[in-house]
Amino acid sequence: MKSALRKNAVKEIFKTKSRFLSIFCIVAIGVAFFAGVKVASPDMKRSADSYFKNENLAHFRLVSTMGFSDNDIAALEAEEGLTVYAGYFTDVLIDSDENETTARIMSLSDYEKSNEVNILTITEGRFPAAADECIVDNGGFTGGRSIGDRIKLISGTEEDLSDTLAVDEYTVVGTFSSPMYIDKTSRGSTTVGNGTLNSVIYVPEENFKTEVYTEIYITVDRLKGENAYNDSYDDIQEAVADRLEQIADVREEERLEEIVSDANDEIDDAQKELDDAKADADKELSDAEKELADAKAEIEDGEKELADGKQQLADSLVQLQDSRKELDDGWAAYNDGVKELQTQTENAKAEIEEQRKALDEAEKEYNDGYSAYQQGLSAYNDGKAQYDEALAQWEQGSAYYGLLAEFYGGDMTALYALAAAAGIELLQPDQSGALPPEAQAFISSLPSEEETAAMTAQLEASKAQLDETEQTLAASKEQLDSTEAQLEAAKSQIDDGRAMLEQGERTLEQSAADGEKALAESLEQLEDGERQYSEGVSAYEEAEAELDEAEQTLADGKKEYEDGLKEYEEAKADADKEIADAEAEIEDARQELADLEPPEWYVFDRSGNPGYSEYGQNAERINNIASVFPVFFILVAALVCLTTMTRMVEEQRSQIGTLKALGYTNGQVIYKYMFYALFATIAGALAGAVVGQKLFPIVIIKAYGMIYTIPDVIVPTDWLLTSVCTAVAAAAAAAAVYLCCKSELSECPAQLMRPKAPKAGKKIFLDRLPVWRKVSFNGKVTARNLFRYKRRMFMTVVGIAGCTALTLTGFGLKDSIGDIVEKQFTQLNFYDGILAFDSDEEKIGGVLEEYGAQSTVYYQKSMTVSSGGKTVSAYLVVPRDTADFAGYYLFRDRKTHEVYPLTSEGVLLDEKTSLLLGLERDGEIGLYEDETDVKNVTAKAFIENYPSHYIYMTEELYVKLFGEVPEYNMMAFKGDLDTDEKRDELAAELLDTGSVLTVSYKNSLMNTMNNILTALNSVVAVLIVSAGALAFVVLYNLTNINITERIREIATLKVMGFYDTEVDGYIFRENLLLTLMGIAAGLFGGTFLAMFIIQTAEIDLVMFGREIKVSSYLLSAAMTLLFSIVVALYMHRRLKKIDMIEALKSVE
Amino acid sequence: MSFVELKGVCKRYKVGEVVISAADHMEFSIEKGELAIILGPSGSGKTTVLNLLGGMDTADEGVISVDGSDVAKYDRKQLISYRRSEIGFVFQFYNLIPNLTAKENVELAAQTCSDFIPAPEILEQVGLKDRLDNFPSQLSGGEQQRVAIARALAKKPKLLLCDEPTGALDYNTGKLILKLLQDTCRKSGMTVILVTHNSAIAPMADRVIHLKNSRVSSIDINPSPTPVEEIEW
Repeated sequence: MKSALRKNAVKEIFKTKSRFLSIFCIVAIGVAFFAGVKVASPDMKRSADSYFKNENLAHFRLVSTMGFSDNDIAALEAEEGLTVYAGYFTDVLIDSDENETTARIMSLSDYEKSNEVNILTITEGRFPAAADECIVDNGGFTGGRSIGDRIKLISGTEEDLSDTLAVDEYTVVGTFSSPMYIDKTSRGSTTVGNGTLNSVIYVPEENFKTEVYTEIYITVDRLKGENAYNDSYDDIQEAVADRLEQIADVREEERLEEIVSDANDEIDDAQKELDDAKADADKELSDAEKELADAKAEIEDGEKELADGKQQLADSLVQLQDSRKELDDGWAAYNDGVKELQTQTENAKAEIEEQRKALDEAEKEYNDGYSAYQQGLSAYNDGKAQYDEALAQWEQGSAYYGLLAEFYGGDMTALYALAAAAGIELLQPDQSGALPPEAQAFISSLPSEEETAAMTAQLEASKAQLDETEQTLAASKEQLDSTEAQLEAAKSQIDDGRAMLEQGERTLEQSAADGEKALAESLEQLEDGERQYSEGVSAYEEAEAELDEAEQTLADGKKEYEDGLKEYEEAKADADKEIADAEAEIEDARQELADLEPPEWYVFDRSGNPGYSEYGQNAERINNIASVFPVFFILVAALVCLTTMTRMVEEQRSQIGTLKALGYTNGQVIYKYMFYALFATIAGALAGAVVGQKLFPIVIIKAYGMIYTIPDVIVPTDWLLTSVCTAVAAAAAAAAVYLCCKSELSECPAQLMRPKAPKAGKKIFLDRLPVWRKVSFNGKVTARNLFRYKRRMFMTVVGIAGCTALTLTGFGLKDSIGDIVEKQFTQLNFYDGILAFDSDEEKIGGVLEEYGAQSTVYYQKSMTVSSGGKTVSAYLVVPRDTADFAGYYLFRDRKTHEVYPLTSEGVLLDEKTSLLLGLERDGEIGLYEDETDVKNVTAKAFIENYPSHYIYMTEELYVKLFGEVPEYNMMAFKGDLDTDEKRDELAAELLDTGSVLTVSYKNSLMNTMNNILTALNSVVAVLIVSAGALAFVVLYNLTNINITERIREIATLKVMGFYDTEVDGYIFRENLLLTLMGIAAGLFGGTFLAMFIIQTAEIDLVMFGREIKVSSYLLSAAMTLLFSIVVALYMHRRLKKIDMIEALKSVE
Repeated sequence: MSFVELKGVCKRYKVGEVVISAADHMEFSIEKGELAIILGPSGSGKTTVLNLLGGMDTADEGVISVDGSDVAKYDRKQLISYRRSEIGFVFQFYNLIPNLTAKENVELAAQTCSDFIPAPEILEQVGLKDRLDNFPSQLSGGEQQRVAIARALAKKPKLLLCDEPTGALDYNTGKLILKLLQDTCRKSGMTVILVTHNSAIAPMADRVIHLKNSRVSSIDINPSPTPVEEIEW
C-alpha cells in the first residue's frame, strides 16, 4: 500500500479522536461484558475445581449403617484406581446455656500434616497437638466459639458419648476451612438436635473409641484429571458410583455374617458375665444386711443413755432454781440493811446539828452581854477618874482657902505657908515686927478676905456633890461586878454544851462505822453465793449441750441407718432389675441378632457436600445470564458501532471520489476505512476481552465468595474466546465498511465529488393534522428533522432503548431479588419465630404466654413432590388449626392477591414448585417420603412464596392420606418480642423446657437470606454499571454523529445570529425527544428482558419476585436521562466552538 | 463618515510556525445604499473581509465601522446580536435548511428579530409567490438562492453580504440573481456588498474594491453602473 494512503488513514484517526474513541469504547465495553460474563461461569467452576484439587477433595464419601470393618476397606482398596481413606465421625450436641447446637466431630488422622484427603487449611491458630484439643470450622459455624474456648460435647442420642469418644471436653486451638464445606450458610443436615448441622469440629483420631470406621473417603484416579462440574466428570463419577454400589452390595452381605458370628460370641460372654455378677451381687447384699442389723442395736443403746442424761439434767435444774431464790432473798435483806443504816445516821446527824445551832446562838448572846459589860466598865472607870480629879481639886482649893482664912484670922505663919505654897520666899518680919515690903505685895495679891469666905462656902457645896458622885459610882461598880459574874456563869454553860456535842458526834461516827462493816460482810457472803450459782448454771448448760449433741449423733446414726436400709433395699431392687434387664438384654440381643438385617452402604458423591451442587448451579445461572444479557448488550454495541462507521464513510464521500478520480483502485480507497474500522474494533475488542475476562469473573466470584469459600480465584484469559470475539468484531466491522464503501464506490467519481443530493425534505403526516398549525415553529423543525432522519432516529432510539432496557433489567433483577425477603416476612409470614419441639406442648405454650406471645401448632416434614416425571423436595406443612394458622401464614395469589382457603379438597403449593413441576391448577401431584409409597393429591392453588418449597394440607386430608394424625412438631409464635434481649431470654427459656429442639426468629432468618441475596445483588450491580457505561458511550456517540452530520446547518444558524441557547435547542430538542422515545421503548422492552433474565437466573430453591418496582423504572429512565444531559452539556461546548466559516465552505 | 469604513484592518492566522496575513492594513469605505463589489483572486483576502464585516471573525487591528459602530470592538455576544439584526447573508451554496419549506426557511430567520418582513411577502418580492411550501430539494438552484436572499432580506438588515452568490449557478440564473440584488439595492436603498472573483460583473457596482495579496490594490467608483441585463461574460 502506498505510504500516503497509510498516512492519510493514520491521520484520520487523530483527526477524529472522539469518534475513534467512541468506537473503541463501545466495542471494548461490549466485548468486555460479553467475554467477561461468558467466562465468569467457567472461571467460577475452574476456581472451585482448583481449590478441590489442591485440597484433594474426595470424590466419594461412603457411610454405612454399621460402619466399615477392615475387610470392607480391603475390598475397596482392591479396586483399581481408588484410594481409600477411612475415618470416623459422629454427630453430637454442644453443651450450651443458649441454643442447643449440633456438631459433627470428625477424626483428624495426622494432625501435623492435616489429612491426606479433604485437606484442611488452618485459617487461624494451629492443629490440635493434644487429645483434648480441637479445631473448629471457620465459616460462621463455630457455635460462637473462638480459639481458647472450651467445648463440652454431649450425646445427641440415647447412647452414651463416652462409648464413641474418649474425650468430651476440648479446647479450641484453631479454625479451619475445608473443601468439603464451601457453603458459608450451611453445613448440611444431621440426625441429632434440630437436624441442621451447626458446626464441624475435628479432633484427634485416637479419641474415637468406635471399633469400626464410620466413614470412608475415596479419591478416584480417573477423576483427578477431570474438572469438577464438567459433563465428562459427571459421566466418570456416575460410572464409578455404580461400581461402588456393586461392591457395597457384596460387602453388605459379608459384613452381616461377620457381625452375626462375632455377636454370638459376645452374647455368650455376656451371659457368663451376668451369672458371675449375679453371684457377686447376692453376697454383697447379705453382707450389707448384717451390717444394718448391728447398727440398729447400737442405736437403741444410745437412745436409752440419752433418756437418763435428760432426767439428771432436769434435777439439777430444780436445784439451781432453789439456790437462785435464796440468793434473791439475801440480796433483798442486804439492801434493807443498807437503807436502815443510812436513815439512822442521817437522823443522828440532824440532831447534833440542831444542838450545835443552839450552842452557837447562846455563844452569840454571851458575846453580846460581854461587850455590854465592857462598855459599862469603861464608863465607870471614866466616872471614877473624873471624880478623883474633882476631889483632888477640891482638896487643893480647900487647903488654899483654909490658909487664907487662917491668915485673915491673923495667923502670920499661914502667910508664909501660902507663900511657900506659891513658891515665894518671904523674909521674916524684922525685929520690929514690921513686915517686909515684898510680903506686903504678896499679901495684896491674895484674894481678899471676902472672896476667901465665898470660896470657902462654895467649896463646902462641892464637897457634898462629890460625895454624892462617890456614892453613885460605888453603886454602878456593884452592878458591874454582878453582871460579870453572870457572864462568867453563861460562859461556862456554853463550854459544857460544846463538850457534850463533841461527845455526841463521836458516838455517831462509831455507830455508823459499825453498821457499814456489818453490811460489807453480808455483801461478801452474797457474792460468794452468786458465784456459786452461776457456776451451777454453766455446769447445767454444758450438760445440756452435751446431751443435745448426743441426741444429734443418735439422730444422724438413725438416719444413716435408714439411708443404709433404703440403699440396701434399692440396691437390692436395682440388682434384681439389672439382672433382669441384663437377662432381657441378652435375650433381646439374641432376638435382634436373629432379626439382624445386612448393613446398608450409602455412596455419596461430591454433591453430598453442602454447597457443592448449589455452587455449580450458581455458575450455571451466571452462564444463563451470560447467554442472553451480553448478547443483547453486544448487539446494541454493534449497532451503534456500525452506524458510526457508515456515517464516516458517507461523510467522506467526496474524498472517496477524489481518490477514485486520482486513479486509486476500490481496494485502495476502502483501505483507509478498513484500517480505521479494524484498528478501532480490534483494539477495542482485544482490550475489552482481556480486561473483561479479568474484571467480570473476579467481581462475580468475589460476590459468590460471600456465600461460598472459594479461596482460589482463577481467571485465565481465554485466548480462543478473545480471538473469536476480536475476529467476529473485526469481521462485522469489515463487512459494514465494505458494504458501505461498495455502495459509494459504485458511483462514478464525478458524482461522488459532488455533494450527495441532500435528502429531500418532505411533509410528514403531522403536517396534515390540524394540530400542526398550533405547533411552535421550533416544534415543527424538530418534528420534521426527526422524521427526516428516520434511520438516525431509529438507531438512536434503539441504542438508547437498549441501554435503558439493560439498566432496567439490572434494577429489575435487584428488585426481584432484594424484595423477596421483605415480602416473605412482612406480607406473607406474620410470625416472630418458629420452634421445633418433641413433647410437652402445654409447657411450651405456657412459656410463650408468659412472654405475651401467641402460638399455633403445625406439623412439618420434608417430602418429595412429583408430577409428570419431575420431582421437587418440599416441606409438607399440616396446621392443626387452619383458622388459627391463617394468622401466621397468608396464602395468596402473587399477582391478584386473592386469598386461598386451605381446604380438605386438596393441597396448596408454592408457586415455584408448580413452575418447576409444570403444574396446572387442580393438577394431580404425588407426595412421598419413600418412592414405594406415593400418595396422590390435587393441587388446588399456587401461593406466593419465595424461599424453599411448601405444601400445605389440612389435618383431615393428612389423616385421609396417611391414616394417622400427624405428630405435631412445630410451633409458630408471635408477640411483643421487639428486642434481642427479650428474644434471647425467651429462646433460652424455651430450650430449658427440654422439649424444644430449636428456636429460630424471623429476624435471623431474614438476615441469613439477605446475606445470600447480597451476592447476587453484587452481580446485578455489575450489570447496572456496565449497562450505564454503555448507555453513556452510546449517547455520546449518537450525539456526536448528529452534530458532525449537521455541522453545516449549525454553522448557518450561527451566521444567522442564533444565540447559543437557540442553537443548543435546535439540536438537543431532537436529542431529548429521541432519548425520551428510547427510554419509553427501553422500559417497555426492558420489562420483558428483565422477566426473561430473572427467570433464567432463578435458582430452584428460591423464587425471585416477578415485580419491577416503579422506582426502578424511574431510576433507569433517570440514569439514561442524566447521561444524555451530561452528554448535552459536553456537546454544548462543542457546539459553541463550531466555526461559522464552515457554512461558507462548499459541501465536501 | 461613510456607512461602512475600514481603517488599518489587519487579520493574521497562525498556521504552525508560519503567520499568514489575511488582511494587511486594509482600508476602504462604502456609502449607504451603494452596491459594492469586492473583487480579487483566490487568497486575496476577500472572504476574510466578508467574515470581518459579517461579524463572524474579529480583526487583530484596525477599525471596522458599520453605521457608526466599531464592529471590531464587539465581543462575542454583541457580534451575535450584530449578525442577528444588522446583517443579511447570502451564501454561495445557499445553505438552506433542507428540512424546511421555502416559507419556513425564511421564517427561521425572521423569528430571530422583532421587525421583519412576513415570509410570504418577501418571497413574493423575490418572485417565489407560488413556491412557498416547497422544500429546497424541490427548487432549482436559482430558486434556492432566491429563498436564501429572501431569508436574508426578511430581517431588514442594514447590510446585505453576498459570498459568490452566483458561484454555483449557471449563467442565466446567475444573472437573474444579480439583477435581484441590484434591484433590491436600488429599490430599497439597502447597502449590498458582493464578494466575487468574477471581474466581469464589476460594472454593475457603484463601487469596486480590488484586492490583491491581502491588501486593497485599488478602488473604482462607478458613477453610472451598468444594469445587469447589459452585462455579458
